Amino acid sequence: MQKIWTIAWREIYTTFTDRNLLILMIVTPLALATIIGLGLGGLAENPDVAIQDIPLALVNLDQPNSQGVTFGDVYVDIIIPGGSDEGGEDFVANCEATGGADAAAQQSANLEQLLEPVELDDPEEARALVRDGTYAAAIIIPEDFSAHFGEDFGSSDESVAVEVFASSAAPISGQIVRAVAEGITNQILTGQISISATFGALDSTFADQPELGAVSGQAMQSDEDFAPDFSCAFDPAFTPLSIERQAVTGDAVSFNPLVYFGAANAVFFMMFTAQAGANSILQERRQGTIQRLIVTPTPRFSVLFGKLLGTLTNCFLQLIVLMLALTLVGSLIAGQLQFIWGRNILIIALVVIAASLAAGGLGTLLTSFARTPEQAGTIGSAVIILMAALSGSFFPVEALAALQPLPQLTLNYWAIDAFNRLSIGRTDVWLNMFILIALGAAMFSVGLFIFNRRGDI
Amino acid sequence: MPTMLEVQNLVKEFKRRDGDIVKAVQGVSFDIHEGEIFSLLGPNGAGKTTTISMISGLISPTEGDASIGGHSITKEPLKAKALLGVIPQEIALYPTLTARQNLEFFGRMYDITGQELVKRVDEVLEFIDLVDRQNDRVETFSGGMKRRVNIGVGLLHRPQLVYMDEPTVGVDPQSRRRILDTVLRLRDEYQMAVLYTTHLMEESQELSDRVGIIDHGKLIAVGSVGELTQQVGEEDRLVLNVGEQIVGEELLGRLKSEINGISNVSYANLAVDGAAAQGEINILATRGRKALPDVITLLNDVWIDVSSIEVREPDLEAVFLNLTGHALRD
Ligand SMILES: Nc1ncnc2c1ncn2[C@@H]1O[C@H](COP(=O)(O)OP(=O)(O)O)[C@@H](O)[C@H]1O
Ligand SMILES: [Mg+2]
Repeated sequence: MQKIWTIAWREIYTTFTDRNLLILMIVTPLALATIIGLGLGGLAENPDVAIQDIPLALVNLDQPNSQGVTFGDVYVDIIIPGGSDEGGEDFVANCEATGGADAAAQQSANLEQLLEPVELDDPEEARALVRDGTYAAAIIIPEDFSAHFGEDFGSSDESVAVEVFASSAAPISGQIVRAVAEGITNQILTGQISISATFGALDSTFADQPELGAVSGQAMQSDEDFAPDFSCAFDPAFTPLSIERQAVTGDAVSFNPLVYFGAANAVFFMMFTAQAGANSILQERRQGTIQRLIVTPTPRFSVLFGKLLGTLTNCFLQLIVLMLALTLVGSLIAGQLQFIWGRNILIIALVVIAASLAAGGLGTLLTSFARTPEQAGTIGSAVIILMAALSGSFFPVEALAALQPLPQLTLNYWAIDAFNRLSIGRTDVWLNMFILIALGAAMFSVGLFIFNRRGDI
Repeated sequence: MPTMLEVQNLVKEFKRRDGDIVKAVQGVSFDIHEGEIFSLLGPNGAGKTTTISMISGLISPTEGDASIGGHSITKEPLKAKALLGVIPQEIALYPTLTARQNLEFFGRMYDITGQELVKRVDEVLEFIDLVDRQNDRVETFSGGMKRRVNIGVGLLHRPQLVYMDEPTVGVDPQSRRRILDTVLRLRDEYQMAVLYTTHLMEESQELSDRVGIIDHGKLIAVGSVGELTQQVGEEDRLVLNVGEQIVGEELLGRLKSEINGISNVSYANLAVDGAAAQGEINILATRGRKALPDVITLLNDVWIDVSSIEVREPDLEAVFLNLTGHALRD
């Protein structure tokens, strides 16, 4: 046992004392994620961003409440300016009185760029169209939406639910639409009255089927004067696109590009580390040190296991260091400490381990095909870059419907998805972990089998 | 003398990628006694590395077995390996670790830890004369210094048997002298048995208590240098340098049949790939000096110029030529 650790330790020591390697492992992905993250952080201000025109289906089933107000129309009006028949323009016009018109107009313009909404009548049809990829998400406003804002509003303990039906094939868009829906619901709820809103966690189902999430807000308390100025409901000064609202867990609910591209780059570069670790078996064979280890009174198994342990630890440490560094970057941008990866440290650590295992398995498999370290490096880089591209690590692929089932065949997808979920306070990452570990173990076994059959370790 | 290493009928067949079977080692048996230097002498490709790779447990034998200090390398590999010190042909070290870190790392692999490890590493650094450079990375070392660390790693656990696989290949004359002295010191100061492989008969002759001659995977003779040279009897060896001229089988045949007392003739081109030929004719003859005029005359008849001639007393080269019909160096 002690020898396994000695071998692993040498692997870790050699890696972390290699300045060039550290630049590649830590500095490069950190810089990339920060640059992309900052670039996308300006989403609200910058019209030339990659993510725009998210196809969105909007279904408004809302009926007027006892006061004759239909809040659903407000909703539609914000998302589709001028799209609502019943005086949508009025709402926006009203804002001038409160001095928020410019901001509101700007926000609408930004939303216009971000979303490409289409109003539909049938919720079932909307869901079906999300499932088949026509829309990234659907927002469905229920019949009794406005009824919740009736006379007995203040005492109501019923929840107001707007359904966000998002395709899991389009995680970024889903997150954005969800954030928008939450923001609008919140604004309607709070309006100009003081209500503390609590959102239920976004439900979701696993895997290939689209996620079903319900945004619910519960009105807690209302002011005496219920005269909301809806036009300012989506006031950007109040609610920037990176909408932060209290979710059940108390974490920020938002699409944070730093998290998405941070996770993507961390996983991408970690795969290189894993591959280099596996490749080091070939390198050590050329260097003669693996032979030298085998002629010591150390079982072959211990030599291999030690190297594997060292490589996995390297991957683990790399991810952890990157996540800490990105937390620092995120906090610096926000001006305060932000747990951008969420607060569920234990599950985060488990996902990091699962991702390391998966990468280790992939590295072993890729290396097992190669005869020389150079060959392994070439094959490995090609596969790793391809997988990263397919998973949307460099640019969002969710818009490319033609690619659709492919992203989910990559390890990156499952790791990034898990980190994104954790970052918004969700803990439903067990399937992700299972897939990562199972694929990792399978690839490791196949790789080891090929290695063994070649009999030249 | 008690036996340190017992090699019994080792066979190794490699399956090549095209399906052919290479019989690298074909039934090799020999013993090494405690505290003796045994050299395995044979040309490139004779099967030396393959043989000792089986002894060290790096590759498993197709047939046969070897035991070190009574422990079979196939049945009790860990016990056998613990007694063996390995000094590979190529430098096998971690370049980014320091000399000391390399020694400590491999020391732990031999189950040496704590204070004992520190003491052993100090000892070995002293022995290889690298105390002052111990904390420098191995990648910054000269070739000779790397070789010394390479040797040091094999000695940390005070093995009773050390093997060195062609340790002088590609080494400058000064480092080479140093390595040969080290081998003698291991036997004389530390009473270690040494298994030394080489294709250079001079090294074999200088170092060995006993020699095993290996060719085409077979051990063709074993004994002390004296015992082996006696097999060739009174025969001298004539070495004629013929430069770029190529000598064919026909001429070699004529030399052997037309001149009295010649038992064996061979031609070798010593030139490194691509360079101009450097031909050498080796002749084994009883009373070699007497045959010399006839040899010169015959060569003159066929317009072969001889640029130099040497007459050598019986040596391992002659033994090899006598046993195999070809020179050690071709
Ligand atoms: N892994 C291998 N696969 C196939 N053939 C091999 C392998 N290793 C050695 N050989 C062959 O076995 C023979 C003996 O090689 P080796 O033991 O390295 O010779 P030496 O060390 O005496 O120069 C050579 O013909 C070599 O080509
Ligand atoms: Mg060899």
